[in-house]
Amino acid sequence: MRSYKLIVAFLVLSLLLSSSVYSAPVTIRWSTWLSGESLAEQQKLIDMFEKKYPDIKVKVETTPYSEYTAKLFTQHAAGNAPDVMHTTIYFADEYIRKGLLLDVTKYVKKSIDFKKYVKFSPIYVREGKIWGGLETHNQVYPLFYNVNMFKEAGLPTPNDYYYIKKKWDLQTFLEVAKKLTRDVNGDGKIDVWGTYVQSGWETGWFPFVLLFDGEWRYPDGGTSTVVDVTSRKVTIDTPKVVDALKFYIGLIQQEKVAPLPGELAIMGTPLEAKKVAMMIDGSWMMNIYKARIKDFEWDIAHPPKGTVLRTHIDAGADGLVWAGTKHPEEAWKLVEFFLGEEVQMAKARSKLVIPVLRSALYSKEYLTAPPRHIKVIHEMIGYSVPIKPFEGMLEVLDGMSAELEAAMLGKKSVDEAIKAAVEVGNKILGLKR
Amino acid sequence: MEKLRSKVAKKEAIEGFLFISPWLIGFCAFVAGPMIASLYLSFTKWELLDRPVWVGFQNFITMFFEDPLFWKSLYNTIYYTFLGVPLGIIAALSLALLLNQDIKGLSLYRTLYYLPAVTSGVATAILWVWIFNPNIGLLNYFLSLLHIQGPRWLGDPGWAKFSLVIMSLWGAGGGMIIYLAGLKNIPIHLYEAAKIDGASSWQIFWNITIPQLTPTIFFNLIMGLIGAFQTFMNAYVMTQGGPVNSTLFYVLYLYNNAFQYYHMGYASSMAWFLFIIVILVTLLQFRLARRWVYYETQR
Amino acid sequence: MRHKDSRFAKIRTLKIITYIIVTLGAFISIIPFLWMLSTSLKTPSEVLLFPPKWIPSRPMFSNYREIFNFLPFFTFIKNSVIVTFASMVGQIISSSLVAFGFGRMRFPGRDALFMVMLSTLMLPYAVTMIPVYVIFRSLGWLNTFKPLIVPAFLGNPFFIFLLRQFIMSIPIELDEAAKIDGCSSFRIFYQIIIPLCKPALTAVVVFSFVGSWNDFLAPLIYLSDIEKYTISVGLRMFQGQYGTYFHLLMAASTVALLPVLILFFFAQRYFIEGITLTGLKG
Repeated sequence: MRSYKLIVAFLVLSLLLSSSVYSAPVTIRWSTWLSGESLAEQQKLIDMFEKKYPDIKVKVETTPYSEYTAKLFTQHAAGNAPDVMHTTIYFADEYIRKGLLLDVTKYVKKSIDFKKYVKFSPIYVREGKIWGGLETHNQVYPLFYNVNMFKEAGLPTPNDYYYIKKKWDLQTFLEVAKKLTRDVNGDGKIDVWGTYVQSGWETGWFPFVLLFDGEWRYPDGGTSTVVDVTSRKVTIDTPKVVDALKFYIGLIQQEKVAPLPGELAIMGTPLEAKKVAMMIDGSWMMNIYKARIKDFEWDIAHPPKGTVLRTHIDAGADGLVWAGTKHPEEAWKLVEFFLGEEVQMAKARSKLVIPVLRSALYSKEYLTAPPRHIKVIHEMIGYSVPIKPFEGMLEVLDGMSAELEAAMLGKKSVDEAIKAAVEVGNKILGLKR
Repeated sequence: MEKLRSKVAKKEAIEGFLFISPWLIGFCAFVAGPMIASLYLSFTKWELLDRPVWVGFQNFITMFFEDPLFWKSLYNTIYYTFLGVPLGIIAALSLALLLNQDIKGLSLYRTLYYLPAVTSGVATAILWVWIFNPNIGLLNYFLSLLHIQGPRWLGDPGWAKFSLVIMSLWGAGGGMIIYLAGLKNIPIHLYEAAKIDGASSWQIFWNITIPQLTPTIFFNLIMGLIGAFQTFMNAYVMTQGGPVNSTLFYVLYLYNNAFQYYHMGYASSMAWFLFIIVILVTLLQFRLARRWVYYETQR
Repeated sequence: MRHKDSRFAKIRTLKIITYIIVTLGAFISIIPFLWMLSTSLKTPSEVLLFPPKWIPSRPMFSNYREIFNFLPFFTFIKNSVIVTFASMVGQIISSSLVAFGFGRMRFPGRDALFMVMLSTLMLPYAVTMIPVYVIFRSLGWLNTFKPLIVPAFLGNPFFIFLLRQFIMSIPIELDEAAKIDGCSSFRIFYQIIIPLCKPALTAVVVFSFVGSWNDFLAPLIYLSDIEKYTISVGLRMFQGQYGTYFHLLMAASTVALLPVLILFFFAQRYFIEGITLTGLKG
């Protein structure tokens, strides 16, 4: 009789204990840089997540973008890292190399159907293992243009050239830019330019290096921009890259279809300030232009074809799981949620990023204008090349971009600037620090 | 008598330490440790996401002999400091003297002049980029009225630093306040006595005002130097170190190394090199101060 | 008579020139501020017009309401008020005590310690940020206001140096007279030196308020709950990865600026008062 009571007591006790373990909500920390509208929307999605998983509470820790890395690294150095982190590929890469992201291969294999997604980037997948998570969105670099300017000048738009005339190449681009560069108010100074040249690599000169087929490729896919990662030497002085830079910088100095850096006094981008007719920029501008451009029609087009038609693709992740998290299962659920229908559809509606879930990417919401030619994004993904960061990437590119600026300002010839860039670039690559 | 004097001195010494104890406690608790830690880190390679690794003097060797941007950033900062600090002192002092007179609406004027020091950094940056614009900016517009073609200011590697110096003068309102406080501190009876003796305004200025102000001038000089050597914010927001790295100031480059390129050990060695330079410059100023700074009470 | 007239004329022209220079300078000083105000009442697309349209076509006072919807701005204001007032009190009290110690008292190692104190301002913040963070973490002070307020009670080198300069401008005879009367050092500090430092203390009050009100790095690093953020961090949240909400940022910045201006305007009174040293031989 006694042993029976004991067994019952034991069973009841263990039931109570296990249920308390299961019902105690786990709190996971998610760090992000979203703020304002995007944060409010993301919070709605987080609330949806918490409803779906009542045992998981998400503590959203937001930090302004410009200080995000400083704070995140400080937390890591002090051992106070969040469970899930919003990242760009540059820090993601660094984290993976330092072994700071959780091996989530088994979770991915169990719950992610790769067929439902666009091809994932090789950043988070290394040697068959998946680290931290997968990208939840992409960015590409289309040509944005002012439709009204083309119509008023009686010119076919870039999309007309690409889809109808089937000829949208660098030569046509240059001709069109020349026609659109003009003095509007007759004061002898050019007020509107065909296009825009920037000193940064991401939306500036690197897209053109790709169009000239000049980028350095890893043997297993992906590009490092213009650095030979195996021999650790810059390749910015190889013939194709030199051609690309001469063309790009020549837009300012020789062809005079783009303004000098710092010449324009504007707020926002040259396109929305109606100072240029067309320029390459990141696909995130679709969200910004959707909200800000009210007085003319804007659209996107393929970049003009050089020797090839190519763009780079930037894979970002709303959240990656830290290797040291105490709650890997719960953290993964959040990442899985970011890859899921609700979050991806929200991305499709905002167009701030390009969704990775096919049903969202090809949804009616995503295809709604503006911009009218949103299908360009789909096609660009088809010929895009992923960037694979390497150690020291950002500092090398910063150093070389600064040297190229001298040529853009007309202080040096392009050859001299490239020579200086090679010297600085190789030195930076070789620094021990 | 000796025993009494040393007893008094001992009491004063203890009291002295008591008075400075808040700072002493804070220093020991929150400042000394981190400073020593950063000194240690300057001899390591630390990429923030794993452990620091001891590398001896490697960082310093890289800094002095191999880094193409190190000397450039140091030059940029020294240029800015040696141009900006003297001009800043003159500007703030002149402003304080002007606003120390009997003009109508003094409080309003002072507030307006102090505004730059507290206006939104973003607004300031945007407006100054506009003021400096080579085509339609205010500066070149005024110069064109004098038939001078203005330079490209922030868009020209040769003028960018100078532009930032001009912009720093606009923030002279902060220094102005300190000089105003200094001017108000000058006992009125000194002026009265001088006037009775028939001194001219110019004589009063040079023989009473300026000498009485020297402690304040010295303060602004030291703080100005310490601040200018660490100039960072304007370049970070407005030029990101460009064009062509002409506004890549030392601390901006340090910050990039720490938080963008993950070289925290290297940033620490840069920091300590700067630290030594600034200490030496400051000690020099303190030594020179004995010749020109007048304290009523120096013990 | 004529000699006096030309003297008058000289003074008058000087005054007029002064007025002109001062007014011109004041105008240049406030241009960004005027732009701030003007932009705070614009629509997002109107903001982009350059050269700026100074008068918005339809003043959007709703922007000022919207900042409270966009972010928990009211909470930010409340937090800033708490942190700033506590810091101000701490900084004024501790800095004047320490300044008196360095400026008046004699003790072994005084000048060396003073240099050590100054030198703490010379090491760029970026390289001590993480060790300091580690200390606060080990104390369990993360995500509280403690790292922002407690150090304020432990002296601020900038203010200490400033007040020390002023204290050293006060004649020692006053102290000695008080000592003969049997005053302790603390009473000398409190009843003689501090009242004579009013202009300098006013400067410290203003700087302390502004410094704490505008400090964004410390709150940003030590706080992680958005409900604890201060105004300065909040302002940065109007700047995203891809673009800035200028119209809202300017409205918020104007709101943030008002308390500072009001404080400054009222602090003017203490700048206008001079000091007279009574009871001293000429």
